[in-house]
Amino acid sequence: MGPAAQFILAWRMLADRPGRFLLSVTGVAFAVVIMFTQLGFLNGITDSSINLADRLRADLVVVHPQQEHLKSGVEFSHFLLQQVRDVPGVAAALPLYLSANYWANPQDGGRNRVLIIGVDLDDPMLDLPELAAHRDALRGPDTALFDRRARAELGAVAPGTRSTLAGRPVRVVGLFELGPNFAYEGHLLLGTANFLRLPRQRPDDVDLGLVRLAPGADPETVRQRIRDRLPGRLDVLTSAEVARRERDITTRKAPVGIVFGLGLLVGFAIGTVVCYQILFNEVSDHLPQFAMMKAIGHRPRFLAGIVLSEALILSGGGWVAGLAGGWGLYAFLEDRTALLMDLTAPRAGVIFVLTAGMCLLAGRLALKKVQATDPADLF
Amino acid sequence: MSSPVPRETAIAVADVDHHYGAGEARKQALFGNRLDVRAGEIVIMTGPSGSGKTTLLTLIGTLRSVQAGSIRLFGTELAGLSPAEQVRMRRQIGFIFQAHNLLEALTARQNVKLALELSDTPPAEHDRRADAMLEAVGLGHRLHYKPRHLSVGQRQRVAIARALVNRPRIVLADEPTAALDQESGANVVALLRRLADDQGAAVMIVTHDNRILGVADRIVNMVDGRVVSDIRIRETMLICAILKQCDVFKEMSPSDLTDVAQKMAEERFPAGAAIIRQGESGEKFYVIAAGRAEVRRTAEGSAPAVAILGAGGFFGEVALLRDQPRNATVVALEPVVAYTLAKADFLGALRTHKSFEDQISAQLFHRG
Ligand SMILES: Nc1ncnc2c1ncn2[C@@H]1O[C@H](COP(=O)(O)OP(=O)(O)O)[C@@H](O)[C@H]1O
Ligand SMILES: [Mg+2]
Repeated sequence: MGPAAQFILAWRMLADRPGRFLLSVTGVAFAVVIMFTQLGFLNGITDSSINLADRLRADLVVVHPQQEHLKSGVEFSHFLLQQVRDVPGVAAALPLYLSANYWANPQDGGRNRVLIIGVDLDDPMLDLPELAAHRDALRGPDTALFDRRARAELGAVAPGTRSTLAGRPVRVVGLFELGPNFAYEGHLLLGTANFLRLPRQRPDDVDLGLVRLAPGADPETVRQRIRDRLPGRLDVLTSAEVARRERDITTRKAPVGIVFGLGLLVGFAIGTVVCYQILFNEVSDHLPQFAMMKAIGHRPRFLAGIVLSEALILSGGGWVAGLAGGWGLYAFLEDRTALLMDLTAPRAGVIFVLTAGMCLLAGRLALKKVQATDPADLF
Repeated sequence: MSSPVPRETAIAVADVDHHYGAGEARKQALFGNRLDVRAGEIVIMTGPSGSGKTTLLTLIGTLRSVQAGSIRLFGTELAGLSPAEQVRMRRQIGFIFQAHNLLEALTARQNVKLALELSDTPPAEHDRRADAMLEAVGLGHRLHYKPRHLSVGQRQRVAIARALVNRPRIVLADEPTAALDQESGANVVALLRRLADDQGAAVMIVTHDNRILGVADRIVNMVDGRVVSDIRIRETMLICAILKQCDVFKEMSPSDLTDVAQKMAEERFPAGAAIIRQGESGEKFYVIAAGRAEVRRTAEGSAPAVAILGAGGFFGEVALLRDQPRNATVVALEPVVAYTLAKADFLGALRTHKSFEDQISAQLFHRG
């Protein structure tokens, strides 16, 4: 008698009381939705935190050694970038300027914190296709590209909109897509010339040096050469390392990541308790029947298979219901927070594994009761 | 009159003690029990509550481990079996529990199949076998009903179908008729009788339902953890019926007759065997239950047949009464089933029953 027989039996036992089964699935789904929400926020924050780092298309990135992440504002001198340019194997080394400042909502004048990005218009080394389309327009004075996915508080912005950025007038010549994150409500993109016209911006305050390698040059060799040339004065990273640094700082060091990571654990714990309660009742009600099966010669393994199958069925049902709930919730939250809330297949998979895990753990606990029943008590 | 073929011993209980609890709370529930049940026998166990019936039944059913003594089921010793071996052994046994414990979620057929799945029956046969068994307990029209849609009696019959579907050679039942009305109870008991007769199953029933005592071959009475009496009802009734046909016992009261019958043991002889021999000392009194035998008396080298005895015939009393060697040889002409009474019991019965003694004396005088 294979696992299929146990699964069918488990299904029949659960389906025998449809009302109760629905209630149980709802209970599990509740825990699943909690986990989806927590994972959604966790991913939303990390996804959003690397939105800029993810667009870097430089072979290597040089930063100040004390820069922990992109928003830390630790900058280095343009002079160092010129020295990098002289390192054999380096084809180009261009600055990327970043500055946090205020954008005035064009409708109500409200101030919102945005990140302003100053890029070299001829060689931005960023994966932002809209940049090329608006390159010429961005050469005009006081022009900018506006982040289409910025929070609604920044106002209704379209090409041609005029407003104030860092206290200076600015004209939006086009839109691009990046999305807000926990630190900034939105982003604006400027050519280097316009960026340096903003108050308190000096060419010497470079945030990132974007390096393109000569064809055929080995990144590791060049990285080492840069380090040798400027020992202790610059860190050399790859684009991927920059993104990882951003993610790590949000998930591990920043409290938001810890909060939602803990939230995920709490969801798992709640789910396990709920599941245990459900399975314990289910098993208790059927205890004499389990004892009977033991008495007539069914193996302990067979009974374990039934209980664990019940756990799996509950987790499957709870996951499907929770997935539907989670999907709706993500749409709602993304709309409200403009954080990226992507319900990708791997993430749904993670939640399924967690759900199955919590139900099986609960099943394992409930099984103890079945194992403890003495079939001799039936007589 | 049926003469069942000799059956092997299905259940052999020897010197079985059982204790519950440990330390201060340790309490002995069974004391040196002995009980043999042959294949084809139905044994009813009675006795006051707490006398150990259930304990003995669960030990035989491999639901508890044997602590002291020995229990053999068709020769297999239960003492010292591993848990996995116990589980395997239980598959050979049909259990009928007082509470039916059917799976609520399953139909009658599915419940019966739950037991079939433990047998070697090919899966393709399962539905057919389950249906046939349910048909046999009168539930052919309820195959797809779940327990909650069946009456109490019908549920019990599903449980019985589940217990019997694998044609177990041992059936253990605890109050199987307690929840049943007169007619359902009689049906269930008839079914168990058929299983015992047709398939040689050994059936043990714990019951207080005296409506079903008639089905039993034996009634075992337990008191305070001990088997205190073991009455072979069917056999006793069979012997009484034979004794009743004999001239010597005709006048005896039924209760005296029963006393004598219970002291008699069954013996079987193949055709041609000498049951007693002329000149040997006499130790037993014989009554023929089935088959024919020939009495021969040797005189001057030849041994002419002096009489033919059939069912109800008896012999051997003369040597016992006179304390003399056998005065004739008795040879089985066909397979003979006889019941024998030992000399001491025979003489004891004589002493307590005056008219019986007179009858015998008259008989002796007559046979001279
Ligand atoms: N599981 C048990 N634990 C402790 N004592 C028990 C247990 N089962 C039975 N006993 C005791 O063993 C004795 C025999 O009980 P049992 O076999 O159930 O008798 P019966 O079936 O004849 O009523 C009783 O004194 C009872 O109290
Ligand atoms: Mg009892």
